[in-house]
Amino acid sequence: MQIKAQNLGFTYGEGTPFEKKAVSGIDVDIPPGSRIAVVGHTGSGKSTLVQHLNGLLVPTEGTLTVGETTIRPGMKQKVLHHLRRTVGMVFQYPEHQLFEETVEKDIAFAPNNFGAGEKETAERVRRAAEAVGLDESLLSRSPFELSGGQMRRVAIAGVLAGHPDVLILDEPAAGLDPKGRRAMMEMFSRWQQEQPFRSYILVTHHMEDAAKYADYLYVMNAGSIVMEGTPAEVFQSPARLKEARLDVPAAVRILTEIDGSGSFSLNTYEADETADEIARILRGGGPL
Amino acid sequence: MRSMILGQYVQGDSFIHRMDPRAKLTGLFLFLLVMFLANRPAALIPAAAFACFVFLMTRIPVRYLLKGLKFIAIMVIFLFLFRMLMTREGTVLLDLPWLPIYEEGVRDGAVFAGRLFLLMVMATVLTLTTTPIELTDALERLFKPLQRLGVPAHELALTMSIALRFIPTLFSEMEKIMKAQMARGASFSDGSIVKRIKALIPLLVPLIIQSFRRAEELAVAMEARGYAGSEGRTRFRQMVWRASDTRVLFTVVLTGICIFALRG
Repeated sequence: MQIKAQNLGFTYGEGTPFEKKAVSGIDVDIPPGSRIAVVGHTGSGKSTLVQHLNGLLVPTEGTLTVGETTIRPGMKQKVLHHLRRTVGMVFQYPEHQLFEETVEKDIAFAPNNFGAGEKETAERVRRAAEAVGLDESLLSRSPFELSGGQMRRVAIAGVLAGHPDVLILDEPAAGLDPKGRRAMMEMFSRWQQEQPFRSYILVTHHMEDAAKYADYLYVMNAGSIVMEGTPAEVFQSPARLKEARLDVPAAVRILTEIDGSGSFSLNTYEADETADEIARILRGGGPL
Repeated sequence: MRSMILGQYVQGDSFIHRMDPRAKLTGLFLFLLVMFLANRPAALIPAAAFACFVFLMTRIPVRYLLKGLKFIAIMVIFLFLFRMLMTREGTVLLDLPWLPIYEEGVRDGAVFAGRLFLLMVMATVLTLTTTPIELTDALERLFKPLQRLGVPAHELALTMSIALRFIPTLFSEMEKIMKAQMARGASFSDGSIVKRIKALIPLLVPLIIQSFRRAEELAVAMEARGYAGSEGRTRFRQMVWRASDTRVLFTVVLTGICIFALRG
């Protein structure tokens, strides 16, 4: 699913005294099979931007093309209903959306809405529960008896069961401990790799996650995209990131201190990789 | 419900805005009482004049009020018709085959509707010029004498201000849950009424659960900061009753005397 935004802008409460421009002049091009991160500090407009991608918000300026659908200002929400089949969305604290009597019924909500048959739905529920690591014995329990972490898994399974091609992840690991955070991100990574056309768009201000789990970054500040590129490209200008009230990952910071020329390369931005890279530089720059 | 302005507050610095909220509440109550003296439409003229006068003093654009009163006006007209058709006394004015209209019915309906309309206008003026916090403070103060009779004045006022405080929070919460369910293919604006009501379940269940959780957190947070009820509590916002406040109440009484004089 190709996603392309051209000069997209959105103003809340247009024409009222409470008018507020949230994003403007956004150009984005996301081919199928991408791992994208939209980074920015709180209030930079990143959540507003991604809510356009499945038609929850309709732009007030510019155009947005998602697959075959082109969205223009003034279009009705109703006609965009079908977009939600192909673009799934995991909101911040998704466990707040649970409502059904059992875990199984809650996960089945999206497939039921999208008209999957009974058998198909049951199969999707089972597979989604497996993908997020929920034990089958939990399916008949009430989601409200579960622990916070399990509830979040149920909620995410509920999105995956809709069988989206593109997944929007709005701070999916917020409030989790480091181990839970990593497990959560690994899970989305596995989901994305299962099919070549699957993409995800990670919205976060956690630069380590953006570095490790995205191949391309969009940096937002005050409603506009101020930088874009691969993590390595973006992290070459810490000063510009600072202007956007963001920081480079700790690994980049340390390596820049050691090697001012910036001739290091990182993939996972994790401790062991960083240590190897430091060792390589200290040995005189040759390969390990 | 864009057209409903009862309950909204418009910032301003008029005499009415600056009045003691206790005086405004007492005034509204007195106004309601004196309107009961009217037994024919003409007797309501002083009350209408008073309402106009007060509204002009708030310096809020008249157009804003008129737009906001549309809904109330429709309700009042409906009630007038209902009242008129139900009363069957006096001479027949219009002898329709199924619904004869009586003189007494028109009179009674007009007084009833006029009273209700003026009361709604004044209640709107009250909320337009008084912040919710001022209102709850005033209510607490006015109900304080009833505390001896076991009325928990402070608790009632606190409950009300908490409720008002959390309305915007609940709204944004609702919007978020709505979007999350829409992302899962829910639709809140399609299909029959039964379908639409059913569609509310995925919205209401999370909203109620969240509210309970939030209530518990708020209770803990208040206790952690030493909240122990009204006992020994001092106030940050002090209310001052001025001579002008008394004069306004006196004007309401004067309006009442005029109404009494105009009784038929």
